[in-house]
Amino acid sequence: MLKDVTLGQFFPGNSILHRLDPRIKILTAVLLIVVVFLAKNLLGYGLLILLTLLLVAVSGIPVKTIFKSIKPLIFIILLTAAMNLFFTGGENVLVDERWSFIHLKITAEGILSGVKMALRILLLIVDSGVVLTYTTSPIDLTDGIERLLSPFAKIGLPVHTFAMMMSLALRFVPTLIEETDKIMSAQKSRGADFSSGNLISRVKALIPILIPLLISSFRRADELALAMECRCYHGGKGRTKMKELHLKATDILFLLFIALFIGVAFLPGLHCSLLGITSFDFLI
Amino acid sequence: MSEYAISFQGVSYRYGKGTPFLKTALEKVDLNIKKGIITGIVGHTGSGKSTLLQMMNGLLEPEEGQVLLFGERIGSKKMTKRKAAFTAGLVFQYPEYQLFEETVHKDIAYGPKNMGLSQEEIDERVGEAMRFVGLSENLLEVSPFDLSGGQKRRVAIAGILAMRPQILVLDEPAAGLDPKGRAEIFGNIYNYQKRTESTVIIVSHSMDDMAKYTKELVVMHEGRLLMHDQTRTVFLEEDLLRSIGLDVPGITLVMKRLRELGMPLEEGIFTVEEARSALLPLLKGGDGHA
Repeated sequence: MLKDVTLGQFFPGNSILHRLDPRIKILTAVLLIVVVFLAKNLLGYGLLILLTLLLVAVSGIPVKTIFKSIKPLIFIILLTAAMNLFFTGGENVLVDERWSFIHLKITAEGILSGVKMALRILLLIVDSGVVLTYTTSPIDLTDGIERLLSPFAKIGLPVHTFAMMMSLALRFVPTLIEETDKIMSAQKSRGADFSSGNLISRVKALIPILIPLLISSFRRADELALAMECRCYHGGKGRTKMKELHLKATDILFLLFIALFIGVAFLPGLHCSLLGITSFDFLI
Repeated sequence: MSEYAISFQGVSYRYGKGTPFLKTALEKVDLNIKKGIITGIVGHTGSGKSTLLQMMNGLLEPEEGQVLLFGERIGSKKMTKRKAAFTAGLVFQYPEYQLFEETVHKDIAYGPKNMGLSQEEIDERVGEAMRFVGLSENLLEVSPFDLSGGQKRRVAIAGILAMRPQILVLDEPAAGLDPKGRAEIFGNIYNYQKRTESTVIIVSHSMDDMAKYTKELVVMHEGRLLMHDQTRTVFLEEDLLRSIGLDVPGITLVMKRLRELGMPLEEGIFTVEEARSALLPLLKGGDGHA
């Protein structure tokens, strides 16, 4: 049951996105997230959707998997959309509060901002998933973060420690899930019941799982610390990497492509002049 | 009532259905485990032993086929999954990692408490279970986390025994224990079975222990049932066992070597005791009275 968790899961593959430098992917993800929230008109959204579809196609991640990652957030997306739908003021009233049974008015602006919000969240999930978590192994990811943050090490931030902590945490997620499954089975064998009774008795039923889990986490941490010390680990000072990150031509090209695309997508002045149109009112 | 404690009828199971990691764990297994004896299950890692065990108490449901406890299908009205958990008490590998209570008494009482028994009944069962595993009464109010590894293991096993299961299933009960601890745990289980005449199933990699304590042996290989016979009969098939990565007891190999060196020893010596009674007469000059 717990094995269905897909959050932040990596799908091994050999697509262009898989082979990109993790630093480039992190930058791209950040860029895309910013742009998704800055996009103003429908043309901008259209282009972003196009780009997202292109990235999905290139990544080779099954569309089914992407839908699965969206599913747990459907409620939040719908709620956000509904909030925007009802609470955005505007002049073009479509449904007056007198006619609507919940006494809320619906405006054209409201509908538009609801759709925009839903699109924003969807694009956010899919972009960051496809560009980053699905196509980058946890090790590459922390490597990339460490390198990107390395300038801050000069002012005394423990960047290496932070990256090491992160990669260790990621490494132990599957282990913990497996362990939880095992402990749950064992306590079920002793008649534990996790699925009936009221809220309080259900929370109480979790104690026989949480305590062994906590204890084994401490034990693992102890053992891991010892194992690392046995191999003379003493922090980041003077530590070299087995795999140095090097930017390749494809990395630069990819970043240029994304930058270009974003430029077109959301500098209104740019495509106005390109298309020879001066007014974008019809796209709002 | 059926004459068998546990029956597997055409049971198949696969892990990771609908993902690229599909793996067949069991393939059309038909297996009948007799009441009132100790049956051993051996097999290489990944042979389907653990899956088999978790089906015995209803934790896993077979994809195909059915599992019966005393003739009642698990999941039927007469043998609900919850009842199956109490009927076939399953002791997992390294069970001490599942301890969680403040005192030994409370931890052993967790199972009986879930059965909805009265406090007196629970107390009586906790005492009985502790005697079975050889824990002294003055440990009752101690925290289980202050005990040694071997003692923790005993507490965890007692936690299952206190449910008075008609079938006791143990997955590698002596894993990670020193030789003395091994012998004690197996001795406890052996005596428990003798006294209660319940059905006991043990999974272990130690052929020596299997030869010593089990009456029948089930051999699993790649999700299939390869052999199920008297332990002595199974161990006569040395070549077959070798071919699937298993072995015969160490003492049997010694006897084989001695036979090759010309000593008049018979085949079928699987425990140290048997070897002693076979060797002593030879060493004393053949008069047979050591």
